[in-house]
Amino acid sequence: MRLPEQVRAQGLPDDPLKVISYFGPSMGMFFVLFTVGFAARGYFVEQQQGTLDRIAAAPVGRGALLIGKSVSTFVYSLAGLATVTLVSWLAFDAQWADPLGVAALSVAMAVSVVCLTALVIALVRTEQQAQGLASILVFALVLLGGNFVFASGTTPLIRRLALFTPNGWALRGFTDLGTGVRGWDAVGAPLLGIAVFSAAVTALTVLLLRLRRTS
Amino acid sequence: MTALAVTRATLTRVLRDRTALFFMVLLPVAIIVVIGVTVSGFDKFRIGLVSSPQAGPVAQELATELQHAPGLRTRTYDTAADARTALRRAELDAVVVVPSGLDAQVRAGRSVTVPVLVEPSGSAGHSAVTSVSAVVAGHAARLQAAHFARDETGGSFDGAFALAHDAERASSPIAVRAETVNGQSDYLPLGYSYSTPTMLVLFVFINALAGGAAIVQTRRTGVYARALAAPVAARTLVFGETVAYLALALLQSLLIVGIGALAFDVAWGDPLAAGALIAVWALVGTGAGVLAGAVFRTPEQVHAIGPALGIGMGMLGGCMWPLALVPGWLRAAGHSVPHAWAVDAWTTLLSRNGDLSAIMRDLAVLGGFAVVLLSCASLALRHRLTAGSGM
Repeated sequence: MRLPEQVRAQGLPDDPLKVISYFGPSMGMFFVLFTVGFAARGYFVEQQQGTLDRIAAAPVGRGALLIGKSVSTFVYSLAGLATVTLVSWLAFDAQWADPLGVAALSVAMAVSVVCLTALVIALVRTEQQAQGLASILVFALVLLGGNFVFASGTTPLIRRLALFTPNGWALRGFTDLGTGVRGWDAVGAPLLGIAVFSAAVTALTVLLLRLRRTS
Repeated sequence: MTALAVTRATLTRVLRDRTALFFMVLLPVAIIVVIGVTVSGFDKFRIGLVSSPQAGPVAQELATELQHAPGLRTRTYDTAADARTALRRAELDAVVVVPSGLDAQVRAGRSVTVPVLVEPSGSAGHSAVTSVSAVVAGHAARLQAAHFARDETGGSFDGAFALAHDAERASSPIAVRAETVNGQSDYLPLGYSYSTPTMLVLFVFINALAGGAAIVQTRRTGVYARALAAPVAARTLVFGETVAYLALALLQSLLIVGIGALAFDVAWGDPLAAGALIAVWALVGTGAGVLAGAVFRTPEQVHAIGPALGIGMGMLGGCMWPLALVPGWLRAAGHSVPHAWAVDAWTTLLSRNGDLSAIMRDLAVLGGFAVVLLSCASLALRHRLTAGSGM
């Protein structure tokens, strides 16, 4: 006898998310975020040793110095992320639907690392303070962003909080790329989210530097 | 007395460092909360429910029953597309789409198919379908009874459906109760009872390791060299530092145990066995921290390598996920680090109600790690202080 209501299971056509496709970039971002501490500490070490003063004495504009420092942090971060994603792909068979999307997310994350480094430098005055603040910032971001735990397995509240972090947005992008979504559909919102975060951090940094100059 | 003065100075310096306090208390507690929330509720399937707001009373009743089913954690979505996206991202185990014309079909006596979307390659989705099927079958049985009553009495469907409800309430249902006898789990209990002991293991070790930076800094600033110029033996300095780091490791452990018990209701098992495990693990961490302070040349090296090493060993040793889940070779490799033995011991205490004798093997191995690390640390630091004029 047939019941009035019957259940029928239907499989989704999407690619299943592989653990390595999520935790590969997740761990890459976690360790790349430590660059914030290294770079900020390096700035204060150079300041203490007079390196920055000597560069300033040369015919080098402040803009060029700033860009040089930022580019080095950017390249270091991007190299770290690229290494982890490549190893995850080649050695552990991680799968993302769109290599360009992976590249775009990595570049966006590297930019946010540069912005966070500038914020830490603007906020503190010593090497020790830079180390301490950067460590706290990094662990707060990875904790909220879902680098320690699989974001999809957490509560909706924690998933929402993750979207206040650049790494949380990037991991959402990697999750979508890992489940077969391509192009702007996968990385559009994450790129915008990371851009908004980076712009907010930059605005705060500029404000802090102006306040420091006037005080 | 001089050793105790060294201990007091180190403790005062660390406890005044707000960053150190963040890593000692706030960060472990924050991670305990996040992981505790994440690994709870595994006994329920995560279901996405898509039901039209204009659904009739029969469809609404089915939706309500799915929302209140004991084995399901149901979240409602406005559109099927949103629910499918959540399923694709593995935020759900299955999506139930209640058909919009369900009421009309059922009233007309036709059979209705309720689609349940799942991830085809995962096992959780198919198990979730079984649980959803049980709820839908229960609802369908009531509809069947209503049809029978209507056919026999000739009244309205709504009246017959209400009658079926009353009859169901008046009947004595047969309850099924699952009970596990003499269960032996290879996993820590879920929720905070999983996250708190594993984070204790992870953070006591990482903090001790990172604390080595302070020893390196003290070496480099010449504090040891000046102390050695006084009639103070190198072994006294080494002993004083070791006791300080042991006290810090024990303090952090007790804080996590206290917060876990009071805020997260974690039962730490046999007190004697738990105390012994905490003490031995604090010795392992102390050995690693003092060794880091002796081996590394700059605080930057400790900051760069220490946390990464601690996290890597924690992952390998089962602090981030149960080693029972990983392949055999990785489980064997995991037991090359002390973390795995500590997590094994906590699993015995918390999941199997073990006592001191049940974790004796784990304690012996951890004791071996502690002896080796503390011996190497003492020798290396003493060598640094005597051979390098305190640097």
